[in-house]
This record gives sequence, structure tokens and C-alpha cells, in this order.
Amino acid sequence: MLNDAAMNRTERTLFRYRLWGHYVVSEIALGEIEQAPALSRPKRSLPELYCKLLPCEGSDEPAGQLVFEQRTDDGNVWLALLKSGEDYLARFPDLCEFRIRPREMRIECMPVPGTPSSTIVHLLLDHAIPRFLSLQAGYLVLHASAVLMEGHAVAILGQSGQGKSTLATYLASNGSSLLTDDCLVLRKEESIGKWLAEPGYASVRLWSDSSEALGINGDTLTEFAHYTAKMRACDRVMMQHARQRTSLAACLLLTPAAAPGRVVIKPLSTAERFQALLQAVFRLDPENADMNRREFGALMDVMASVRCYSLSYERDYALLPTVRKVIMESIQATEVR
Amino acid sequence: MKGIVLILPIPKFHIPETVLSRTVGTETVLLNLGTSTYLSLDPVGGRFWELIGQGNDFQQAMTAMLEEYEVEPAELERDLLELCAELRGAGLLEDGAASS
Repeated sequence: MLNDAAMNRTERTLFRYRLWGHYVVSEIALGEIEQAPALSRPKRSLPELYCKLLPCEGSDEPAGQLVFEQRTDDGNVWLALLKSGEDYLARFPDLCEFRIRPREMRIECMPVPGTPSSTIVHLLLDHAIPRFLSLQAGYLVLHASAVLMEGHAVAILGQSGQGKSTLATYLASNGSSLLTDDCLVLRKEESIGKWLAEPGYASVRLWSDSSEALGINGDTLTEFAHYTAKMRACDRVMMQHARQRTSLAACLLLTPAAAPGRVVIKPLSTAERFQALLQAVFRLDPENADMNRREFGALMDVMASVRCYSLSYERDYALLPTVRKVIMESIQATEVR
Repeated sequence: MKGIVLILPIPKFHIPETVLSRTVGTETVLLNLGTSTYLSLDPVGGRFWELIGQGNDFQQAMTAMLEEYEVEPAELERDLLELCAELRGAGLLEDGAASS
């Protein structure tokens, strides 16, 4: 006879997703994200990541050596990353902890009781999984949106609040397809020597003024984390979602507007390109020398093969058609390179 | 006849183990992993970096570059000393010979 714990394991529902070139099997339903067909595995053999739900341990004992800490403007710890052997613990105080086990291809999710499921899903999708992926050899994970334009992947980088998601949503609603909203996973395809952008999930996070200006039906918006007014939009009717990995052709760095009413795009210097990419990297262990060397090589590789531009325009939604046109022209220039 | 002879020490420095570099196009990007400081060098600076990375000291690197570039020795020396000061300031070069 099975004990209760074993029974729970046996009866637990598993949810299956294709995310960033991985087959993600999760004990946690990832919100509105479309599941992969239940009984059929992808034709291409994908690495499989297992996301397990565990009760919060609630221990005050150190769970490893602190390797990184991120604090909010008021000085509170937002994220602490600890290392223990080959494993890592990503701790979001009072919200959730994730034990990241790269060798077992596994993430254990331990939510603090009372944390809304939307927040747990957000932390898993937008923080824990990207950091897990950053450990994989041959991967480079950037904090960036990306779209598929004219057959090329185009990354959109910039500080929070610069309008990455807004621009990606606009482009994905006007002839392009969304590759990812917030986490761009690049994988080196050795056979062709190119960096490919792996599709993420088909939703974006927007402030209400952006979703309204972009004409997104308010009924389709859902909470994405309880501590922010941003909402998750996955309006599949309006927005196209790319499902194929595609070679990265260009990076756009959103910068503050240079002049009112003007859309300015210009190539970045080597130093500017490096700075933009370096600042966008998702890291799990900034003190790991091997990982840093690998990351540096990957950044240099991407820099050598991808055109990078700064793109500045006023936060005026009426300018977005012009912005799109300017980007298209730059992409076409990339093609004839 | 009286004169003053200045004997200046040959600058000695080494590239710290935490510094990585790679040439992209015509520029060389340097990154100190320990401090996340980075710098990009133009082709001339990149050549100097390459020579230093091959184990040459300042004088050897300068001699090699004088053969490769049409430049006055004094001008090249001044430029390279300025570059070294900038690299040291950014933690991309350290004083003293490398420890074996």
C-alpha cells in the first residue's frame, strides 16, 4: 500500500510545455501558456527539464554560499542566489525558493504559503528557468524581447521600462512574430556556426497604457504577479507567435529619445555592443570563472555575427509604425551585408 | 660638459588571470571578470595587447611596433605609456612581472 506522499506523487498531474528549446515537464501549471501535445514528443530530441513542486522548507539555516544578491530600491533583498555543491538556490524572500539542479535537469519549486500562483509561475518562468538555462553549455541567455522579422530573429534590449515588450507586441501584431517577451535564449548551432534564438512562450507583460494603446482586449489580460500592476497578455488572435528557432540577425538597444518626434537608429560601436549585451546577460553564478569565460566567448561570438543598433524614440505610440519601418530597413540592410 | 642622465625603469606589468580578451572586427575587447570592467582597443592598442599577451615586455612590444608602424619612437612610447596607465587604472594590467 502506498503512503500518502507516494499517492500524491502518483496522482500529481504533469503539464508539458515546449519552452526555449527544452521540453519542460512541470508539476505546476504555467498559467495560460499553451501546453505541448500530451502524448506526442517533439520530433527533434529536446533536453527535458523537470519542474517539481515541493513544500516550503522554511529553514533559517544557510542553504549554501551566497553568490549574488539583488536588492530593491528600498534596500530589501529581492533575490538571493546561493550555491551548494553543483546546485543553486534562488531565494525570493517571503515569496518562493527554487532549487536549481543542473545535473539532474531539475528545478524544485518551494513556494511560501500564501504566494499567489500567478507570482510563482512568473518567478519560475522569468527567473528560475532562464537562470537554469544560463548554466547549459552552448547557451547564452539575455534579458531581452525578440521577434521574428522577415525570417530573421531581432532582439530588443534595454533597461526596464524602456518599452521592449511594447515594441515586441506592436511588431508581433503587425506582420512579425513574437519569439520571446523577456528572456531571449540563444543556442549555438555548431553545424552552421550561428546563434539561434529559441522560441519562448506566447505572452507579454505590459502596463495598462501600453495594452490599451496597442488595442489589446482588456478581458484577455491576466495578473502575472501580485506585486505589480503589469498584466500578462496572450492575445493569440492579435499577436503571432514564432515556433521555430531562427538565427539571430540583429540587436536593437532601446535608448532614451534623442529628439521629440524623431526615430533614430544607428550602429553601435564595439564597446557599446559589448556593454549592451553584457548588461543583458542572465547570470546564476557571477563568480564562476569557467562560466564567465564561456559567457565571454559567447558574447564575442554573437557580437561578431550580429548587427547591433541603438534605437531611440519618444514614448509615443503614434511613432510605432515609423519605428517598425526603420527597423525593417535596417534588417534589409543586414540581408545585403 | 655636464648633463643629467635619467635612468627610467622599464615598465613591468602583466595581464591578470581574470582578464579576458577577444578581437572582434578591428577592435579588441578586454574584460576583467573580477570587476566587470571592460575596454575596447583600436587596432594599434589591440596589437600592443597582443604582444604583451605573448609575453613581451614593454620595450619588446614597442620595438616590434616600431617596425610595423610609421611612427616616431617618442610618440609611440608616449601613446603606449598612456594606454598602459589607462589599462592599469581599469585593472586590466597589473604592475610587476607575472608570477609563474
